[in-house]
Amino acid sequence: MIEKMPLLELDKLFPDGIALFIGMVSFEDRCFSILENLKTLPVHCLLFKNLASGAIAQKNLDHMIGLTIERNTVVDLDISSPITTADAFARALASEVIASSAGAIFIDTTTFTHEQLLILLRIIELRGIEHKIIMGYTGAETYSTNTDVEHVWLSRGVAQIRSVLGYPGRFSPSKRLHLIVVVGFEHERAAAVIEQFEPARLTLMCGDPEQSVSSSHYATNKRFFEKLQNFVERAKSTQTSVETCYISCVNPFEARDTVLKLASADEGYNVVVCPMNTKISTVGVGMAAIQNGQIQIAYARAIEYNENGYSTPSTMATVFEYPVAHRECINGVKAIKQPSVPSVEHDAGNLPA
Amino acid sequence: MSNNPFAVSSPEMMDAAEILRLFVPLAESFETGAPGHVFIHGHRGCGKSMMLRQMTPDCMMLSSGKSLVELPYLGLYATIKSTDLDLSDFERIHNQYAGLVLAEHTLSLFVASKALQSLSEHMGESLNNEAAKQAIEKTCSQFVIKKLKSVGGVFSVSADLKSTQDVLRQSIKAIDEVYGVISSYIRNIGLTETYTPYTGPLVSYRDFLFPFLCELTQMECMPKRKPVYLLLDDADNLSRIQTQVLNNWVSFRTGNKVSFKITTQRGYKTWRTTTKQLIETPHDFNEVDISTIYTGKHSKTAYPKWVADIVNRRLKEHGIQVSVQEFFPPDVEQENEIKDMANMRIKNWEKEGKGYRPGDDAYRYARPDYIKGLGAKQMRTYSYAGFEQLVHISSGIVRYFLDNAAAMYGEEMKLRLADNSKNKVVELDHLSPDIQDQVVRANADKLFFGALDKLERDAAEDQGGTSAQHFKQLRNLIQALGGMFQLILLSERSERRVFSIALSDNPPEDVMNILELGVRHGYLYEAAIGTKDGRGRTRRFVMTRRLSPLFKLDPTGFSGYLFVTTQLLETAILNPTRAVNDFENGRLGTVVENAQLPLEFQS
Repeated sequence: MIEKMPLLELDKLFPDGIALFIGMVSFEDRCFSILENLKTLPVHCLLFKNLASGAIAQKNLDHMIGLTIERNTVVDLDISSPITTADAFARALASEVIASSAGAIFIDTTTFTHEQLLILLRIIELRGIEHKIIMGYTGAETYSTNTDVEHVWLSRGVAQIRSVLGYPGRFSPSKRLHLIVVVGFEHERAAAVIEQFEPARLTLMCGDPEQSVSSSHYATNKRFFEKLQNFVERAKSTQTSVETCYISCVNPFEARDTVLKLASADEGYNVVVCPMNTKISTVGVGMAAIQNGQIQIAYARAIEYNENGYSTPSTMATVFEYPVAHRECINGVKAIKQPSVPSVEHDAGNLPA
Repeated sequence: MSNNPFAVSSPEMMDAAEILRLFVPLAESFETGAPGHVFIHGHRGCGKSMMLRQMTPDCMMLSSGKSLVELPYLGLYATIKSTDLDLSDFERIHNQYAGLVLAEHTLSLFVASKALQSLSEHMGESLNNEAAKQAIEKTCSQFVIKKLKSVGGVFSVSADLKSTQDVLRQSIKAIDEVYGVISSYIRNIGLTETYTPYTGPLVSYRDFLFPFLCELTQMECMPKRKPVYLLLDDADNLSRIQTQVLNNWVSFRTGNKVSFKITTQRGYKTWRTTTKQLIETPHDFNEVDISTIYTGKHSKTAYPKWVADIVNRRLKEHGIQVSVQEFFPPDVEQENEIKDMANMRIKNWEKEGKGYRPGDDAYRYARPDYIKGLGAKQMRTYSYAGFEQLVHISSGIVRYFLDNAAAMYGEEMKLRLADNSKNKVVELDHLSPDIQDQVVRANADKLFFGALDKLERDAAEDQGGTSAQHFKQLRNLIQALGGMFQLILLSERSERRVFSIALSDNPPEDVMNILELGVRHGYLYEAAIGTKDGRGRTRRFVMTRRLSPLFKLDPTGFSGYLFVTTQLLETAILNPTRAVNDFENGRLGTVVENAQLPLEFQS
């Protein structure tokens, strides 16, 4: 099941109510968009919050606590320590999931970092959760709202590039590296990842213009992609082959299958995927790496985010049922499309004309 | 092959012929060719990887005309990528004994696999014969296959191997299979607080890797009884505990049999072994810093020649038959005016000359005079184009030159293609001075504003306020130095082209930490010079010329030092404006001309 629907209609998906809502507090208003629009209060809410988050996030947390009345547990996460993040997820899920009544778990993926979300997926897998899990993602109506197109930015700097805990891949030391970057708006982070890895083969996966979340930020996206292309032109070596292909930013299953197909066709390389587009595509990358343990996932932690103008929330959410057992086969995988001239429709990282 | 002649290739991906065509040896021969462990430090892009790669047999055979057996050593290349070994999942056990044992195990297997891969790829045709096949099969069977089986490795073995490549592939596959066991193990340990013991095969340096490597040069088909050099590229990418394990191996002092030649980008995590012992130079190893070789005695002519050789080879490779000077032309109008000023200096030397020879004055003052003559408002119009200036701006790191050149080439090509209404093939025979100038200016801004901001924020998040404060202080120091160097350039002093400071006393540790931070991140280079009284040596710090456009400095010149006191440095790191003002008012710092010392980048 995957559906794009108005936030106001999300309740329709939960005729028996929500046993547990899981969300991530952030400086973005998007962190409470889903919770705010649920008419029926979840039985319990598990809210994660970064230890080092600032005043805006604290204000948003207060708002979310207000929305949940007293049905909440707030858990701090240390963004600099994946191990403690995993432990916090595991403990919280152990207590809250066991305590939760029958019914669905609703995870709002929107404002988790890519790394946190991926670790959460592995914890869910290891715990063997039997509840039905629905994941939701609120897209952005606009990005970098406090800048003009020329000066668009979402994050700056790269504090560290590391493998994502739980996704070390199964590398063969003798093989060369194929780096797959699922590019989004954050050019500097993508560039740092490419520079750091110096891959033998590089694939830039861009959002599929036929599957857009929103068509409202074409100019911003085009500007970003031009910057990235300029970097790639400069950085690619004479031997490194740089390829581009599309990945779905709105359908995690298609994103998963695209990554799986690319990785399975590439047995001569160790494959590292760095997801930097929507959280939906990141879930897809996570599912691919859970299904194919050869794949390593890497994460580039930003130093600074545009807290005052990162985005404004859309009124629509993409929701899908998350397959806990990952038994879905990849039958009917579509051929990987090569970028051509895209339509105006696109989302973060979609290849512009 | 890229269409851009200046695109930087990873040596890992280049064959011997290409390495030979593009590689120009460094001006200085270090002891890397001699037995013994060596650490080769250097900023990204100064030629470390090329240096290691050309020590592999295929390159050495091609360059020397010798056969494999005649080589003085067997060089095996192994590059370490960012998350090859340094995995977040290992953090769970890094403080436990298991973490140490598994670090030894993974590093031993990783290096063994890479060594075999290098044997497979970097020997040319030397091993493609029956005698070599049989010898290698015997060695691999005994030291890889049987060894791994004896510790519980599970993998299939074929009795029907047709070629040396088959033999090597089988051993590589066996190692990769055993490595896969640890990969599977670590996939889950990071996610649970419950300790899961590792029950798979275990090997170590002493019982597996070292005996295997030693045996390689016992074969007739190899450089017999010669040492094996393990050429480990980018050891900064190891985790701390893996670094400690590598330090253990270095501490064994097995240089006559197995020597490690290890490159780092100055981010090597520790010099301690797993038992907390310090490995030291020259006791355990030698070390060289190749980013600084061209700021010393070789800066005058060797570096520009080295860069010209490299650029020439790349231009030829792309069918561009012009000289480097023609390909990177300066702003002709500007250069003519500077020449006129130089001629005027020569003409007036007898009356007004300051130097020993007319040419000294012409060289020393013409360009600063020109910059000064532009006035504060027009100074931005000074052009940094031209091969000579670009070489100086690259500050001894060839990658900086190539990166700038690649960007310039890309921009020029974009412009030409946009103007190419008749869709003809565009062939560039020069890069316009305007584009050259724009690129180096943009990179100077990026270096000072972007990169330092990044480092400062990085430190603020990762290491606490103290370190972030250090980056702020470094920025202040650079700003103060740039400001003072600009004042000197625009002054009537006899020596105006100053780019470095020398310490006239011993600054306290906190000041030295800031200077060293600058060196570590490529804003400063460190060297030594004689003290003012001539009785000893003192430390000298040279500011990178990549910042020349930012401070409107003449990048081509250097013939004096600013001797600074601790007082000046302390003022500079706290309040750069005040430091510059105090200097301007003659309260701090002395400019010293010292003709006996090497003049950096002076041509």
